[in-house]
Amino acid sequence: MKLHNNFRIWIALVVLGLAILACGPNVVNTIPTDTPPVQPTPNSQNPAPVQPTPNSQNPAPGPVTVSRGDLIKATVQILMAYNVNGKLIPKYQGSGTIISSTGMILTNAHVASPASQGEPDIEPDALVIGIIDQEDKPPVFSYIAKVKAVDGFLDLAVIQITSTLDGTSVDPNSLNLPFVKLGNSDDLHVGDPIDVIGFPVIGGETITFTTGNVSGFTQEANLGDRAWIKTDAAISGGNSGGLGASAAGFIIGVPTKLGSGAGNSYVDCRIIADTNGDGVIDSKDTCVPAGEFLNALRSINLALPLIKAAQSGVAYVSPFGEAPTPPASPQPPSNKETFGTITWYSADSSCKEQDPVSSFPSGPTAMAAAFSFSGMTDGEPWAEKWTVNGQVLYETQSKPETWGMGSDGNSYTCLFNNTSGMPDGNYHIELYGGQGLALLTQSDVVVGNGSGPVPNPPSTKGVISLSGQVVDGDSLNPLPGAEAYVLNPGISFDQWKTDQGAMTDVFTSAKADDQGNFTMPDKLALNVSYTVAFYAEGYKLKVYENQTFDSSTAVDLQLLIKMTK
Amino acid sequence: MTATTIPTKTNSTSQRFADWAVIGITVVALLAGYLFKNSVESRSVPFTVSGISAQTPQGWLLNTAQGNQILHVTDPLSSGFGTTYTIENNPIAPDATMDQVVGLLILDRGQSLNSFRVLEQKKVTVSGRAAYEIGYVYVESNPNLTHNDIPNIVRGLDYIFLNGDHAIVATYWADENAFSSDLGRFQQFLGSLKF
Repeated sequence: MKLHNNFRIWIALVVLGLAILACGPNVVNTIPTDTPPVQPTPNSQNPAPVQPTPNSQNPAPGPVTVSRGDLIKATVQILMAYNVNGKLIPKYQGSGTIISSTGMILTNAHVASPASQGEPDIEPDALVIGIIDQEDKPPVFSYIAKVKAVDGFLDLAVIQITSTLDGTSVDPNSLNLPFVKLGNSDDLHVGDPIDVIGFPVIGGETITFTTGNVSGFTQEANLGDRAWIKTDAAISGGNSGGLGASAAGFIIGVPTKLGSGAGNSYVDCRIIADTNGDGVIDSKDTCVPAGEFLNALRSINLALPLIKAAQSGVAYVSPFGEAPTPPASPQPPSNKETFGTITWYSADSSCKEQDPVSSFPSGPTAMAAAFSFSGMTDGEPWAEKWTVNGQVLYETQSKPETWGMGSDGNSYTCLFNNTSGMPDGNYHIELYGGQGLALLTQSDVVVGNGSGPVPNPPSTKGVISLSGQVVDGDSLNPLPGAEAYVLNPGISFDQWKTDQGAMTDVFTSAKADDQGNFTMPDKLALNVSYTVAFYAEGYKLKVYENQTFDSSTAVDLQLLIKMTK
Repeated sequence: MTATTIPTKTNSTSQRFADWAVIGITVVALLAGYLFKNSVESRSVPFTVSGISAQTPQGWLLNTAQGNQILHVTDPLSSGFGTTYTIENNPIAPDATMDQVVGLLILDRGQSLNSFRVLEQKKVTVSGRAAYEIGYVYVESNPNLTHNDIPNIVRGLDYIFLNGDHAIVATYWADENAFSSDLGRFQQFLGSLKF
């Protein structure tokens, strides 16, 4: 009897235990017992995260060797970002070196402040700082920095971390960032090893380390015999502003882009993603820049006055001669501007014209479009637009460039991609200038196995502005998002259909705004036959073939397009 | 003195069978209840947009998707910050690399989320497909300063997949206190993602 009661008690306890398991919240793991969906990728080949070693403020007596991990952690990626609809959109990038634990960074002036080098048009709205956590991972964009001291003549700048990405101010004394101590470039000798660390490509690659030797020194007027440190270390454009370190781990130079710093140097732009969230990948989105190959570093000793000024909060004034003079205030157009027919040239990696071509083989690293000009005025705005297979590759219409080539002569503009070469396709360039940034010249060229050059529209200058409103034919309510197209002269709607709506058949197009209003960006020429088409979702396509505008047509043509279902 | 025999109580076979039957039925009932509870918690509804499909938890609130979001669902029963799953379908250049997309997503998150901080990032495989995982934390923004509530600390996970000219980002946001306990359900959702 006693045994029987114990048995019942044990059974009751078991049942009670099952009840607790069944009814207790989240006691049993709901993850399926089969293989979980997320598997970390085996990482045995990759190095462990960078381990910083203590970074003493006071160097110990005798030679001090800083670990490569310290140097890597103190090298940052800098994005030049622009405010687009309240969001920071990165467009260009460079590198920098943290030189104090409070977030002071040394870089190039053309990275931090192109305006200091006579290029105010591309002065960034913010400098985004990417910090390395692991050397095999891309940098994590974490901070915003502001310029504290800049010298356009030296092409050096000191910037200071001021806030996180959401704008929250940071206390510099709380940052405790790894930094690189300043070396003495006067102590260098030919043959000394140099380590160069930086970020060649925006977000696309992890930090890059190259090593070489001091090949020599170059003098520059007012700057002495060691204005530049020559090196055989391999450096590419994105390394600008990064770290040149001695064998002992001190910063002794800043990899610096050489060249004129003219606007064309920033032409190369490869679209990465729809960074501004407008649903379109275009020039308003981020770009991958590719500059010339560098082979010289700006000596660190030339940066000392900037660093001292930044540390003390004193305004910095360049003691080394005049900075490049910014162009004069924007000049009004003369209305006599003309650009001649474009001739295509092959070009080297520094965009120097080589031979005239009618097409390019696959993968050219640079393409130059040369043209004559007249009636231009230095300081007046001009713009260019490059497309490939109808997709905008680069354009400056939204932020026009400033002309500085004189009133008459020959010039060229260049597109280049030293990293992977230009992709195959049908390329189209348009150059704008004069009153209202009118289209002055345009041309097409094929790269590689493109589908063939698109016939140039007549080089007649456009004079008719086409705009209007697209509405519902019954209610007259506006149709936001409706699309308007003007096809190239000679292209019928049927041919456009045969070409599957290729944008290379389109002369100009526009999208209606919230009020259904549209404005064609390009002007139509007189006495030229165009096909005009309107599209709105849910409505029948509206096509007007063989539309010709003569001198009796209003220069500013306004249309009311009533769409029917 | 008379010897008496104390009758001993013996269980008949039928009574023992009844005892075991009661126990067995109780255990079966408890197990059935447990399985039913699990099935209710795992119940999902299919979701398909633009060729992307997933099984979303039944009974969750479907919020208005913004920008490139194609899905935004929230658990109405979760405490603190409502556990949320989103799917974004972001256009990218066909030759954009994963590192480029990751860098730009981090930049975007940093601008839009308060006190955003990356905790970890690594390459992973999700249901046999290459992906990138970013773990982070941020503080929920509550612009109504008259609220007496303490802002919630939110932990997030982004899983990024490259799909031709789009990057699909599956996101898990949960209150810090519920992150681990709700993670399993999200992994079921993530495992059901197809494109």
